[in-house]
Amino acid sequence: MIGELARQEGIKLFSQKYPYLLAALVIAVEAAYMIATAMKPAETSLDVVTAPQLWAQGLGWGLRFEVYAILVIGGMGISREFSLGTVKTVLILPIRRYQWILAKLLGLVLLSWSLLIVVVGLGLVIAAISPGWGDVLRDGVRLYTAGQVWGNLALASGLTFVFMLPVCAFALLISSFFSSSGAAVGVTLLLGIVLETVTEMLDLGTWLFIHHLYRPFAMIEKLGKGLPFRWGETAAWGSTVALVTFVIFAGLLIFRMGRVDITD
Amino acid sequence: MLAVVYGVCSRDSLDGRTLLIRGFGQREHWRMEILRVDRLSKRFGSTWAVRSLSFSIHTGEVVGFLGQNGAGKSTTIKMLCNLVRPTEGDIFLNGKSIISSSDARHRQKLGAIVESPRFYPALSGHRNLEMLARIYGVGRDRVDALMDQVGLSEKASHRFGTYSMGMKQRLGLAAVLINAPDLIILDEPTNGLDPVGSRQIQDLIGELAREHHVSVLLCSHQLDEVANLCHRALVLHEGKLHLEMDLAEPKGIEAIKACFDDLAREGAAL
Repeated sequence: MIGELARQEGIKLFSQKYPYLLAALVIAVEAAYMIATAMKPAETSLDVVTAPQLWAQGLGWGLRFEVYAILVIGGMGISREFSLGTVKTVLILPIRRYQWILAKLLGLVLLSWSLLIVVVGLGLVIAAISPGWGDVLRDGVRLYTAGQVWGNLALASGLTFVFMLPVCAFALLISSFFSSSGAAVGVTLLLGIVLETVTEMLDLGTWLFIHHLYRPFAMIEKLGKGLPFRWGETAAWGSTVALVTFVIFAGLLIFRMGRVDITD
Repeated sequence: MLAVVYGVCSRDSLDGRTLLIRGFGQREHWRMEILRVDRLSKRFGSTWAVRSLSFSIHTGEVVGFLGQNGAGKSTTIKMLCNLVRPTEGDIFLNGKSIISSSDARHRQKLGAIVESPRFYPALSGHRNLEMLARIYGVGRDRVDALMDQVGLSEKASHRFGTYSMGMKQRLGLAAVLINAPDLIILDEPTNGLDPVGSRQIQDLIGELAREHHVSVLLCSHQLDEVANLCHRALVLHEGKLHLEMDLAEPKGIEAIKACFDDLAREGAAL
């Protein structure tokens, strides 16, 4: 049943224009940033941007805008059902509320992952036009082998799929408190930006999932400077924080929607 | 003229509760209890919207659900439709609780339009109906047949957002019938329709009850509509059952009108 409901969520989503526009915006930002970076002349050997660095930088920007896009789409996820009144049509059906919510969550997660695959793939294609696919060398010294670099990039990309889970649950949770799509999207975006900014400004540390969100790509961007990776913390601790946060947000969402009265 | 496409309704799950009521044409039939509302209450904050409401509906019975604005009709209907959680009491459909049971399939044989039909505006009427059909496990051929029967075949591929009020009501009725329900809850189904459309909907409701033994809870402000269609009427006032009237009784509808006159005088006196 959840699979069928998730399929229907996809149909509803792709029958509208705004998901396409947001996806196009994400792709355009990533592509523009990568092309501009690749064309910028290097003044010193440290400024030379290798292909993996370029890819990582593009992914960092693509990911940032994808998070905003998912916050907008997720912010409309439940509030739009309230504003259209279709929540009444759905909840009369012989399904449990948690099934509907899980289907919404699954649909949004699959959409975010699909967009992520496009972002990763596009970055790879554009990076392919840049030099430096092999070992990372600086003034004749090998900083990293090609295997290390691409292995780390693959791991970083994989982790990002996990980090998208709490973003999706967060957007739907905020959406469930509003019957106006515009208000829901505004508040979801605002809270997302505030959470990100406060985390960075106050250095709240590794307990907040958002701290880990862009970290893998920020680390890869510094490849050329020979800085060490700290994958243990990012992969293990970051994933744990992201998954625990996801479970908390999803649990709150199911609890909230299980108890809310549809009175309007 | 609307005709009815209807499936075979299983009565195997009924607990055998029966009641003698009068059907259309004043003939008496033994009927089984489809819906039982048992001491249902709903409190919003400190205000009781519905207070200890009990009634039942039997197979093929059309029951009018009346009351002034704020009497508790909408809240009751929303509780029946899983939109509002009761504070107290229970609802039994075909003898099984739809409140305390965790099995949502107990609502399989319930169809409802709450307030007005709500569908996804960017999807076609057919696609909207097809999505509901898949949840109920109903085939596409039934969707096609229902679209045809409610006169929307030619507009089936048009977006729901472009439909007129009458077309939306027709699609809503098609959606209600898709799972061949035992009980249909209709909240002002002729609202916004022209006289011809209203008459067609009323004929459809009558046919469903008469030919297919479907039970109908009809919420309406039009007493003439209730008088024409319903076997029985329930009048709510301040969340409680104020009057229950068998409309086959001589002057049954007159008693309902007198009841509303009294309520209006009470309101004016306040």
